Amino acid sequence: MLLRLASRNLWRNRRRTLLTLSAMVVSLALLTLSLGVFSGMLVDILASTTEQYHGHLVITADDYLDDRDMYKNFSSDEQLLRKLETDEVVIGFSQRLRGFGLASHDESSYPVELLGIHPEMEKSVTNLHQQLAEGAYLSGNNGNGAVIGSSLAKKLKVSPGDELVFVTQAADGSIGNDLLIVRGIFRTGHSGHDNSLVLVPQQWLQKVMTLDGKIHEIAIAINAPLRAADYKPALATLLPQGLSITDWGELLPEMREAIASFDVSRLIFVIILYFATGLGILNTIFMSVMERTREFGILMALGLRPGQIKRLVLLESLLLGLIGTLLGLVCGLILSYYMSRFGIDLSTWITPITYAGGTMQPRLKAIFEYRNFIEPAYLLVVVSVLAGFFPARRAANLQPVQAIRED
Amino acid sequence: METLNLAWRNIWRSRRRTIITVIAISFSLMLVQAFHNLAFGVYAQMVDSGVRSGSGHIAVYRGDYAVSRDDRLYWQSEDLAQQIASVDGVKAVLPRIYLPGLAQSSRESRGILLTGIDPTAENSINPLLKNINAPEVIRSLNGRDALVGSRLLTELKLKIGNKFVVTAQGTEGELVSELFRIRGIVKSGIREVDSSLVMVGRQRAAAMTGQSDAIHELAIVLEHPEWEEQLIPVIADILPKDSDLRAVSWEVAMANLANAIKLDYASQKFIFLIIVLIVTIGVVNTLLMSVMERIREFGVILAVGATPGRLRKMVMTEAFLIGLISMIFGNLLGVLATWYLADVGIDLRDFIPETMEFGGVVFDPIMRASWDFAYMGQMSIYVLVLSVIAALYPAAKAARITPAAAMRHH
Repeated sequence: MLLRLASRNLWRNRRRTLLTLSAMVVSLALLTLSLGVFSGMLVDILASTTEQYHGHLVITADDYLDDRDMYKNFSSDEQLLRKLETDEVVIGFSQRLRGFGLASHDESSYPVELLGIHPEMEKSVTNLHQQLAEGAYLSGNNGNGAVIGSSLAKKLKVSPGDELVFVTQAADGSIGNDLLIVRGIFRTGHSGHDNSLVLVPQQWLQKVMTLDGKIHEIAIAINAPLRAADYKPALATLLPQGLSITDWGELLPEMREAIASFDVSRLIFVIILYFATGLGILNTIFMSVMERTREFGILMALGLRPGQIKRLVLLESLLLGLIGTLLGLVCGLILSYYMSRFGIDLSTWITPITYAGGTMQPRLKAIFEYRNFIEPAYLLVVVSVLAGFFPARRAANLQPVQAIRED
Repeated sequence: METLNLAWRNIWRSRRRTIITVIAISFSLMLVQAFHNLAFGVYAQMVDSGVRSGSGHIAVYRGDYAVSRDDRLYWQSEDLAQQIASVDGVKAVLPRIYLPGLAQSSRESRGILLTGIDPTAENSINPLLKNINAPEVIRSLNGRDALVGSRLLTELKLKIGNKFVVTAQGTEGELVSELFRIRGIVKSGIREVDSSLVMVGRQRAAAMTGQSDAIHELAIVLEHPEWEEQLIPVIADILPKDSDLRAVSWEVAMANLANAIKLDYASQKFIFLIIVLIVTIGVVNTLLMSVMERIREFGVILAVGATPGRLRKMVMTEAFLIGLISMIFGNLLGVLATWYLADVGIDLRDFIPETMEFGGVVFDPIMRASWDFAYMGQMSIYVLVLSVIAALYPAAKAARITPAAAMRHH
């Protein structure tokens, strides 16, 4: 009975209820939308370094990542690869050899970082093959093709088909140098990669560096990037002695912090917004209680206990909160869906921005993350009930006789 | 005056409602002011450390170096640096040359950015050098002393005092090598810098291009950042007319930082917008309620001869008064909050142990607000205007009341 009474009470002053609801809907819908966009940015930044370079996890010789010493290499291990292939979490892996040196064309020389790869394997870890501005990706493990970053290509003044000379220090102490043919040019927006990264066939690089059959790392892509650290121990058990596995959080501690601190800023954001919304709800419920002083008096005179009156008012605010949350969620989902489908392109306004070691592309795109909807929705209901608490107590404390006498 | 008096009494007739509304508005005003001031302070700090280690508030480049970073665009500074240094408001002029190259130790080689600086000018200004002690500074413009990024040092397996070779390209594209000795370590917290910075005396680096006075950049640090706009034309005037030298602001020279700030500020504005929207709905609601409650009373007022225009004016005045009180309280709270944030600040070191890079600059883990009075004033007026706008609908509603129907209303 109380529930029916509460819902009727809400609709007695329709305009007021609707206005209050609209405040709740606006705050929840825009809140979930902006959280979705922020999450989208973070995923974008993370992908900019993991899916364009590092991978989500990486297997290396112990301590290799501290100094990327070329002698801390290891031989490709068939048994290990087979284990990775059958692992459910792993969606791709790529064996790589890394070399640092100088690339020259005509009168220009620039420092570069070479990754010796198997093109097909690399495609399963990084998405550079989807970001080609010119030319084509590497096709085989042999040959002397190279895929280079766009800024580097511009500085060296090369286009697909041109020759490059690569000079490096080889493992036997000699100076290794050889000719490369530019096959493709990628543009990622990440200035570090665009300026210095060069992909070459693995066998070619092994020959130049006199490191036959050796690799420096196995980069791994997994299906849930944010949970890389959780999967690490299981993958670590697959490794032979002398190798270790590192997740992106350890590779890029500042990015891990940035993503972790998102939870804190999300909470602060929600609290601030709901404080304003909560005051609005409080005001509404208060008004409706004050207006009905006489009515409450009569209800009490008819035998309703103060506890029941209190529950009635709380029920009203709970109902208001539930309706507002529901509508807000629907609007939030629609807005987020729109922003995830279409997004907003900011590239005419700003250029890519580096953040915590990653690069943010100039676009706004929402992603759906369960927590961005559940937490704000849940809190809005809590806020509504809290806002109803004070007026409810006041209604319950009324003295029937005085209340009825009031006009 | 009479209207004002009446409106004042009216808003205090339902004290609780007025107080709740005032709290909502003034709290929001405080939030907006305090958060803006905090961001204002953080941005100012970022810009300050960015311009000191980067391009200066104003940078002089040849051609489109600011965008292309084409290292062939070096030029002879001659006495230009002194001329600019004598301009009022210029704190320091830092000549620099940047050469991409390969650093080689006996075991490893890595790509680096060889940065030639003027140590005496740079030491007191550049935040990258603030942790360098006296025995570690670069001693001369053409010596072999080098400061090396911390990560680069480990990767090259070098220690302070070790020698290493840097190879870069000369004017004709030929490769030129130069030997340096490590004097000190630079640890900036920015991965890119720590793994690729080699800082040496300007003339020694320039000698690799064949011209010992060549530079790429004059980074001009100003006494007051806000003078930048006035000083750009002044400095542009000093530049030789027949050269293709240009003076550009840091927003152009360091697009990464400028954009990072722009984007961050835009998202903050969006949050403010949501808050303002919610508060506006709240104010409309309150005023509407107070009008609906008094329909009967308004009917009586109209019956005794008041015009609808007068009623409208009264409701608007009530809103204005609520706005005014909220504005005063909001400013009071905003000042207190900013005071706290400016004095104590927010220490992020407990949350974020790592150094955080944003827009190519290390983010100071202690965030401090600084005062932006113009913005605070603007927001105050905005709140006032908003309250009055929010009253338009309720006021129109009050003016439409017909006395007979209203007095019958209960």
